[in-house]
Amino acid sequence: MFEAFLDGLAGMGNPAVIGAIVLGTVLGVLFGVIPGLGSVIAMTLILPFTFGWDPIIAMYVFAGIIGTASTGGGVPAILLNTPGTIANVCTTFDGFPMTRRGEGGRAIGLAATASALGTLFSIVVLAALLPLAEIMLRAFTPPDFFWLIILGLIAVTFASRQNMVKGLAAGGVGILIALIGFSPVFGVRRYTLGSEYLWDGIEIVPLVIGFFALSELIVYTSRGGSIARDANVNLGGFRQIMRGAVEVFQYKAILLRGSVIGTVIGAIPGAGGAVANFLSYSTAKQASKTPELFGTGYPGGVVASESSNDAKDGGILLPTLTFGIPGNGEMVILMGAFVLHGIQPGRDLLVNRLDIVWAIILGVIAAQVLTTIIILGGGAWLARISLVPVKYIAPFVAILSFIGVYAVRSNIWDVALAVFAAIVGFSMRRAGFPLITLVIGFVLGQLAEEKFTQSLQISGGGYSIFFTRPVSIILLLGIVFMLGWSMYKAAKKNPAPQRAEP
Amino acid sequence: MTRINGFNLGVYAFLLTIALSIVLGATAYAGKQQLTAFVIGVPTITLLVFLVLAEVTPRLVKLTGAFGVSEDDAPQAAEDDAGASPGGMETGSWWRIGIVYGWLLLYFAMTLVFGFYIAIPVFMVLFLTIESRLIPVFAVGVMVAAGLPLYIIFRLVLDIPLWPGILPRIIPGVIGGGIVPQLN
Repeated sequence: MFEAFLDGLAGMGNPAVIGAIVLGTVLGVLFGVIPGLGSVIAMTLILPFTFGWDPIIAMYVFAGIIGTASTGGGVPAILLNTPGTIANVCTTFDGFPMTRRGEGGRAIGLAATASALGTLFSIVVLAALLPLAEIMLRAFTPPDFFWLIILGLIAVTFASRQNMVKGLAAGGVGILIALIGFSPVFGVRRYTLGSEYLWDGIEIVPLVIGFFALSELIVYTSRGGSIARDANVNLGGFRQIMRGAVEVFQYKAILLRGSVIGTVIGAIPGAGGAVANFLSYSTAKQASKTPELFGTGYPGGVVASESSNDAKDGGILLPTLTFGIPGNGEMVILMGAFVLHGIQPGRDLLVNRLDIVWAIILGVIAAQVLTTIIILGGGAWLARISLVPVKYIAPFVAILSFIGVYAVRSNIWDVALAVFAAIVGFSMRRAGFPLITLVIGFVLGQLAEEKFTQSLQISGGGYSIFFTRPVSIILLLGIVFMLGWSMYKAAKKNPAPQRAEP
Repeated sequence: MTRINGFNLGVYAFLLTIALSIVLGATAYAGKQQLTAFVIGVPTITLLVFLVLAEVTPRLVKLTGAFGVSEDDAPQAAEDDAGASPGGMETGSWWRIGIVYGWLLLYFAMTLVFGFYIAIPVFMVLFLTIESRLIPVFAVGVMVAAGLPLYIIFRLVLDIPLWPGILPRIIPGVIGGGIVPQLN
């Protein structure tokens, strides 16, 4: 593993790698500072264009976006009281009051440095845990992997506090549509309805572009207007920014707590940056001797918020790289990139493709450093980008989406599929279905079938193999616990719901 | 009288149709080839039927509450104006949603017929003028300023072939003459 790290480090001098990191960072920061866009759309839009690239270069681009979007989102949160991403909400509590006092630059300095240190902490933890995860993976057999996929789907719905029935139904539909087309397990084509277009199954790129980029376009364009409100962007000079950057170290305990919370919460599929953000902020407030200062422009509040939302990056990569269980939208698109580039997460990745693993880890670190420099140097300029109304951005998102979808297979019907997926995705979201579970089901569907079939081959057709292995039993207990707890909480919350009579 | 959320019901019915087609279609395959569809499909269909029943049978709401179907999902959440959804999504009115989706359909239709080289500038100018309310001259300026880098990056640098449209060939290799791939 150390040799792969050194190889990765040496490879960072490659101009293509530098270009990929710069591209990812710029995209991540731009999509992060514009409220309503975010890293998932940035990753979705760039995904098809990476097809045919060297996978290492592609991973550096994705790592650049993953490592930067929530850092960029802190800028409008501080200067305009509008969080760039949902994981920056708590930054507004103290960041914007600081701006109103004329200390916007100080808050930007605090946020950028706290974000960088939070990311660094979580990435070091990730690098330290990867060898252990590889050892753990050896204990996993096909039935265990099958349950792990099911557990992953349930965990995402459970942790994101979405409707459990709808989340599981969406996940099930995702797995079912993944079965369409050629099955590598059986070597036959299934469920194609006689259509040649479906011979290779439903392509991931049109599906995710439709679900995430185009359905989001419908949401924000139909709403109209600029999300961010104009404000007097007062940074107070470069000296003030640097003062904030150094001042972070006066809040060591808050910084460390935020980084730990971000890393741990990030590793739980479905929990994500927003949960880490609120938990870190409220914990910092509870632990403080002066809790009344939080929310009044207290620098520690900015540190608590920004350290946690970036520390989630290392945590969230752990289940994705080791078990192939993506915990949030970013990771789903990263899994899509793995599929597009023929990379298999899990043991194969950790043993045979460590270059990919280190490309992601080093890419996140390099992008974070670059973002910190960009934000410290151009925070006010970035805040002004937040004021661009989305109605001007929408046609570019549509154009990039269409070109991107077409570029992968040069099939115009893929564009039609993306347009169809946009309305399906929008409708599902409107009806309260979490799209992420459908896409996770879709990405993991074929793997689920492969592991299910392998299990039956091992057992000679007996189903007891799914209920007798120690790891399977632990995973099953996890599934039962999550379903039971979810039902208990929901029953407690809605003891006897009444329907309104009009 | 209880109002049923027809929109939610439509979404459930659509997902149910997909799940049913795959599970029923699985019966045509032999042995293990149909197993995954059954193992995943049957619980999925059960959950979707459950959602449909909860939507049309008020008494089931109490039961579904225990499974995480909150009151937000109850029929009275149906709104004439889209507004905030059970998923916490803030959108414009249904009319606005229809218009935006109409733009996407129009852009696809233009791309299919005329190809990317004509559809992109026309769509951009139309959208920026009508939807974004830019003055036409400014919209054309934005189109040129943004279209040129797009052409340089995607066509010249990345060498991505762009769909020429189904029109008879007008400018070989650029506009018209696209062979539509087999759909069935």
